[in-house]
Amino acid sequence: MRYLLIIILIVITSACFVENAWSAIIKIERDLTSLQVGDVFSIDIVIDSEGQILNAVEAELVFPAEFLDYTGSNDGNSVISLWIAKPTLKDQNRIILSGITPGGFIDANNQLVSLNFKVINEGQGKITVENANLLVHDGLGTEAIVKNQNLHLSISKGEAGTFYNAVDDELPESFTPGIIEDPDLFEGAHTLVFTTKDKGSGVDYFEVREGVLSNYTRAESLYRLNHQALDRKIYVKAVDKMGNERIEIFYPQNWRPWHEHTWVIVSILILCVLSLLIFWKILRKRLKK
Amino acid sequence: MITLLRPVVIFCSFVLFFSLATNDVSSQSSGTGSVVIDALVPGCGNAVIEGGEECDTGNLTGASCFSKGYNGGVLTCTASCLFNTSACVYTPPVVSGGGGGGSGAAQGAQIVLTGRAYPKSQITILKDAQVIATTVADEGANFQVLIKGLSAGTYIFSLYSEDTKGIRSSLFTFPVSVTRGILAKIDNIFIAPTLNSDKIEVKKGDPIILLGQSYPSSDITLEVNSAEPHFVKTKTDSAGVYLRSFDSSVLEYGLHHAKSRSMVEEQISSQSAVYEFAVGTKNVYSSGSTVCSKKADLNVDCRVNLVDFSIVAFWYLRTLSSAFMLREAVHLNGDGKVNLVDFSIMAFHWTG
Repeated sequence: MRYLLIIILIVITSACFVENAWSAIIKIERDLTSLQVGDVFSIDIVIDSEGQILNAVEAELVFPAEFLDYTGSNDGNSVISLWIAKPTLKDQNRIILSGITPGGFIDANNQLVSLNFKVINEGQGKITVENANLLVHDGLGTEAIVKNQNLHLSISKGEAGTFYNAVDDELPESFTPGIIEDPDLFEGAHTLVFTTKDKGSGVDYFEVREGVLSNYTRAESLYRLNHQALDRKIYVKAVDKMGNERIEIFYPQNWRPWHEHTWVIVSILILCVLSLLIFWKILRKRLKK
Repeated sequence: MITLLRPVVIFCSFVLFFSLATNDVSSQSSGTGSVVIDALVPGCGNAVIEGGEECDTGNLTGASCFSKGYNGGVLTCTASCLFNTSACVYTPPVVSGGGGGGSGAAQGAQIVLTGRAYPKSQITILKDAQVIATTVADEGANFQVLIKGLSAGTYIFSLYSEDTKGIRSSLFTFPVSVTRGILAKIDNIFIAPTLNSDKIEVKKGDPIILLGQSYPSSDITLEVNSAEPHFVKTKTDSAGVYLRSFDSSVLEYGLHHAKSRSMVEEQISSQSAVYEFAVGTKNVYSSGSTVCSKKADLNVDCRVNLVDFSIVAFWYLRTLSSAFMLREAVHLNGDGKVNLVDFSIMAFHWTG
């Protein structure tokens, strides 16, 4: 009888504990019901917050690389506003990601990211979620209990694959780059920060150009400026996965228009005077003749 | 020969005129043709930051409009060595296409946000965590703002307001899916009340005053958490201000927190930010002035935004330097590392 009471107590205590713990589900949803070799398809990673407000996510998606070829991701409609680590392929079969949503999100269908694959071989496999971490929007970073729903795949031999022609004719979202100077970043060097989203196909990459005459170079936010004097116009180009580009121009604090630089005006005037002198000499010679 | 000479003369005249004209404009801005003598604060004007100076001529100590909470424009220094943010701007609510290639969308989606805040309070609107617009509520504490030129897709919008004491509300966040060419309307946004107190520590048995601002003539429910939560009610006045005394004798010694919600015409606001206080053996009064939360504000500019995110992101999963470890202890969770928990804290305190 005593043991029975202890067991009942343990069960009740456990039930209370589970009741008080936050939980959430990470689901994998697929746009094709059956797969054949050659198909190009995407899966949506979706979070059901189960009534709690969440604000931070990290997870790893593991897929069978012997059957699937990972071709990229689309985070345009992601509930994540800022990526700490954008969805990135690691170890050939693992996609890692982490990010936050200021203010949090609460819903049963929060799209985390859409992942694209091409089927390369027939067989059976599954896509799983591993090392997932969802944090509650409570200012403390409390962990929610994560329940994963894996996706089982059955791939048959096919002749012609199914393709989706994505249409995206919209530019990435407008954004405002900024320059920060922090003692703990690149030894206090001026560093460019920027971010934006593209609702259609997702941002592919950024490029930065310092000054009118330099070339664009691939860059990521937290870009240590080559020209620390902050006197050159900075161009930041966001390119989406369909090649649409948006260029934002940032005017650093020491930038001035060309006509406000004394040396430019003086140089032009000297050139003008020299040109006039040369022409005057030529003119005089010709007039003498 | 004269024909050859003519363009050179014209060009030189243009350059000369242009440079002189710009100089005229510059001088006009400081005195419309008359001689203006600016009185300089002693030490101001030597490009060296001294006592009482925020900046000095071109020396802005690394500050910019961005670090001042704006997202565009040029920060300058006044003749009194104070920051001049008059040329700083927020990105206007109309989101328009910038330079660059791509065909672009002919017509974007639009969204109208309508709701309740505090009388004459400023409301800040964030789209995907970035500030895109600000507006001011009318005297009745109602506001409406139109956001244009959105791409088709899902956005996370967040709004917050500031009360007359400069205290910010918690974020009101919601997702919106918009379609090209369609005007979406989001009504019934109800910004959470602000919450403050006269004390940070209350002597057990003494009253603690809980106060803040919300929609005028609304019902406020205050929740003070102890072993079990205590609920008290009050009402805001015509200016939206509320004040309620709470008897601390029902609370145990130790840390407690309070939060509030507002209700009007059966509409309930989101929950206020949490106010933490202690019940102890003495009364410790709060300063009364608005002190920015240190949490997640790495560069101490009273804002938690992309700048702070970038600083923390740099140290993500890296071994912290001893200098940054001190900052991590003050602004984040103080566990000596930067991981997802620190970013979660940042997301909670985000202001954009």
